[in-house]
Amino acid sequence: MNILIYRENFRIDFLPESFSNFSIEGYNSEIVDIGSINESENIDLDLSNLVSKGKDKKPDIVFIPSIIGQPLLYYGVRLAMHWRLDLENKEYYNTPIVIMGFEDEAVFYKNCEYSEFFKTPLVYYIKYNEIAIKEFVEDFVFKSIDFEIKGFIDFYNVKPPESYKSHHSITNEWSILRWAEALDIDNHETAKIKVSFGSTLYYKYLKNKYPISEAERPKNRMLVEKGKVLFIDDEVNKGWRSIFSHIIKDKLISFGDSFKDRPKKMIIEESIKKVKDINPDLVILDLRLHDDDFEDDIKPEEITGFKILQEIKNNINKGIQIIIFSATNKVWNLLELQEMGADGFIMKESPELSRDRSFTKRIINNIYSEIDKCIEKSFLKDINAKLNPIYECYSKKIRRIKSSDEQDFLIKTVSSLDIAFELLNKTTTGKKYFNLGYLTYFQIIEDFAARSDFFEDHSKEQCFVIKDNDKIKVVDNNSGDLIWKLKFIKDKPYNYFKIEDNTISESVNLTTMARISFILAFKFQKDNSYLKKWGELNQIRNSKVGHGGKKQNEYVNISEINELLDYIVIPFLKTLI
Amino acid sequence: MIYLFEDRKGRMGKFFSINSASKLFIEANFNCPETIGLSEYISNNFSDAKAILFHSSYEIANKNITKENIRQEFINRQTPFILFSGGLQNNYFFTSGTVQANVNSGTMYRNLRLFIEEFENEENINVPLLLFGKKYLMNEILSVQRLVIAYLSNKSSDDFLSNNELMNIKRLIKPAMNDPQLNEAKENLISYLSQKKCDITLSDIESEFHKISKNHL
Repeated sequence: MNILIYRENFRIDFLPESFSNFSIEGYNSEIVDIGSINESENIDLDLSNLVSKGKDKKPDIVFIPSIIGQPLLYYGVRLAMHWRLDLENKEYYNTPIVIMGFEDEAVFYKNCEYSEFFKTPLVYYIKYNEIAIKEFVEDFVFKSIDFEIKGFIDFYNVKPPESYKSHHSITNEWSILRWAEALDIDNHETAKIKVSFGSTLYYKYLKNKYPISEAERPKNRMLVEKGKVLFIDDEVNKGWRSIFSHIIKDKLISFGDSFKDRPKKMIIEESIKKVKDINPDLVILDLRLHDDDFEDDIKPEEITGFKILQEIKNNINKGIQIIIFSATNKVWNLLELQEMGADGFIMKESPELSRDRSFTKRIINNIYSEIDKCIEKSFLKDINAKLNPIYECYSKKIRRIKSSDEQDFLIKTVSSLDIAFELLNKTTTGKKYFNLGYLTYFQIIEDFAARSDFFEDHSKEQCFVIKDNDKIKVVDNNSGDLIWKLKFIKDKPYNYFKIEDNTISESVNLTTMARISFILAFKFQKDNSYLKKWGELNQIRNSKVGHGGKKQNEYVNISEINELLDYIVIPFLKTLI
Repeated sequence: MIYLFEDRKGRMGKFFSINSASKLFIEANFNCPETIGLSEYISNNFSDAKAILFHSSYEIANKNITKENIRQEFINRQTPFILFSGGLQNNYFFTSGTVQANVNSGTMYRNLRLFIEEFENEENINVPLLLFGKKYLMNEILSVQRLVIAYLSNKSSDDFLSNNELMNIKRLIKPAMNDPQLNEAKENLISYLSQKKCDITLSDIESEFHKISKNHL
C-alpha cells in the first residue's frame, strides 16, 4: 500500500528539523513537502501544484494536515478539496483522504468553514500523530468505492469572489474555459487562463457541478464567408480572441489590448477611430471596457460600450451591425441597448446559467446564429452609406425652408426612408420585409412622380415633363390622335417603354410606370436601356411585391433593392438636394 | 493613520461607509509624480502611516512605479502592508518583522470597522483581526497549539512527557499568545507545564488547549 503524507516543515531554532517527520513502518510511505505558501498571492495555484506532486506518487491513501499556513484558514482541508475536485487526474478521484487535525474534533468542525466536506465519501479526520496514522492504516479496510462527486458537490463550501468586478471576471473566465472546452480550443491564451482561473478551487467546483457532456457539445461550424468583423474588448488577449477567431476565422480583427489604464474618453475615441479605419460590417462590442463600468450604480448610458454603440449608430453608419457582448442579463439594460440600435446580444455564461445542462450548447449556437443574422444584414451598411448623405441634406433642408408643402414632402420622404430602413432591418425575422422595404422605396418614387414640378398631367390632352424651368410636352392630343413620346414594348419577362413617338389608343392609362419612364427619359435624359431596366424593376414590384403579393413566397432580394435605389430612387432624391 | 488606497469606490460603498469611519483612517490617492522619487513622495505624504490597505490592481498613474515598489517602500519603513482584492485568498506573514497580508476584499471590508476601532482605542494594528474578525484569538491559540501538537506527534496519548519536552513546549508558547485577552490563559498554561510532576501526557496537553479554545470559540 502506498501512503502519501503531506508534511509542513516547521522550523523552530531550538527543535530538531526532523520533528514531525512521520515514519510508518511496514508501509511504503512517501512524503510531499508543503513548503511555504504563507506569502503566496495565489494559494489555489500552490495547492493545485501540491495535488499534482502528490498524484505523481500514485498513492492508495493520502494524509494531509488540516492546517497549512494560518490556522483558521484550514488550507490543508482546501488542499484535500483540490485533490478531490481535480479533473486532470481523474483516476485518483476516490483515493481515501485523511485529514490530520491539531485540535479536538468537535472544535475543528466548529472552526473549519469546510467541515461539510467531511460528509462526502472517503474523507476522515484523525489526530496529527504518527500513532494515529498507523492505527488508521491498520484498521482501514480498503475497498474501491465508486461515487459521483457531483452527487456530493453541495457539501463543498466553495464561495465565489465577493466583489462585483471579480464576479464579472469569474463569468468571463468561466465562459472562456467552458466555451473553449466545448469548441475544442486549446492554445496559449486559453492555457494561460487554465493556469490562473483553472487552478482555483471555485473553478474546479463549478466544473464538477456543471460538467459538459459529449452529447451537449455544439457542432463546430464555419461561418462568415464575407465581410469584416471587428471585435472590441479590453480582455481581447485573455482568451476571447481565441474563441471568436475560432468562430469567425480570418475575418476577425480584434482590438482592445491597449485599453488597460486608459481613460474612458480615450477608449471611446480609439474605438471609434478603429471603426472608421476598418469600416467593419459587424462589431462585436464588449459592454464594459473600463473599470468604472463595473460600478454597481452606473447608468446604462454611461457604460463605455453603450457610448461606442451610440456613436457608431448615430454618427458613423447605422447599418454597421453591432452585437453587444456582455455578462449582463438585466432585461432593462438589454432593452435600452436594443433601443439604441444594438442588433444582437451575446451573453457570457455565468456559472449560475450553467445550471441548465444544455446552456453551453445553446449559447454557442446562439453566438453562431447572432453572427449569421448580423452578417446577413450587413447590406444595411451599404444602403445607409448611399442614402445617408441625402438623408442628412433633407434633414437640414427641412429645418431651413419655409414652404410648408415642400417641408411636408421632405418630412414624408425622410420618414419613408426611415421606415424602409427599419423594414430591411427586420429581414432576418421574415423575408417579407424585403418586399415591404422595396415597396416603401417604390412609394417614394411614386410620390416624386406625382409632383407637379416633375410631371404636369392635364388629363389625356397634354402632359409635360418639367426639366429645369422648361416644360417638355410628352403627351399631346393632336387632332384626335393621342401622341406619346414613348412606345410601350410588350415583352417577356417584362414590359418597358422606349423613346419613340407613337399614336396610342385613348383607353391607355397613364400608369406610374409610364410617368416615371417619361421623367427618366426627358427630365433625367436616360436612354432606352435605362428605361428597360426600369421596366424590369417595375415588374419586380408587380410580380413579387405588389397588389398584396399574389405570389406567395416570392421575395425581392438585396441586389434588386440596390438596383431600385441606384437606378431610380437616388436620382430622384438627388433632385431636391 | 491608516491609509486605504481603493479605486473601486462602488465596491467599497457596498461594504463600508467611509463617512462614519475614524479620524485615524483616510481613503487616499496614490499620485506620485514622475519628477519626485517614490521614497520622497511617501515621506512627504504618508510619513504618519501606521498601516496601508492597498487594492491589488490599484491604477498607478506613474508607470515607473509598481505595486511591488510601493509595498517594499512601506515594508522598509516597517509599516504593515495589506494587499486586498476580490480574487485573493486570505493570508498574513512577516517580512523582516513587519506584518504583511493578502486579504479578500469582502473579508477586509467586513472586518475593517473592528480593525479601525482597535487602532483608535488601543493604537494597535491588528492584522489577524482584519482577516478573521473576532475569531482572530482562536487563530492565535491554534497557531501555537499546532506547533505543540506537531512537536509531540510521535507520542501516544498516554506517554508521559519529559522535562525537556515540557521545557520546549513552554519555549514554543512564550513568544506566542500575546494578545492581552490571552494573558491569563497563557499564564495558566505555563504554570501548568511548570509543575514539578512527571505525569503530564500528550492527552493532558490536548485537554489544556481544549479548555482554552472553549473559552474563545
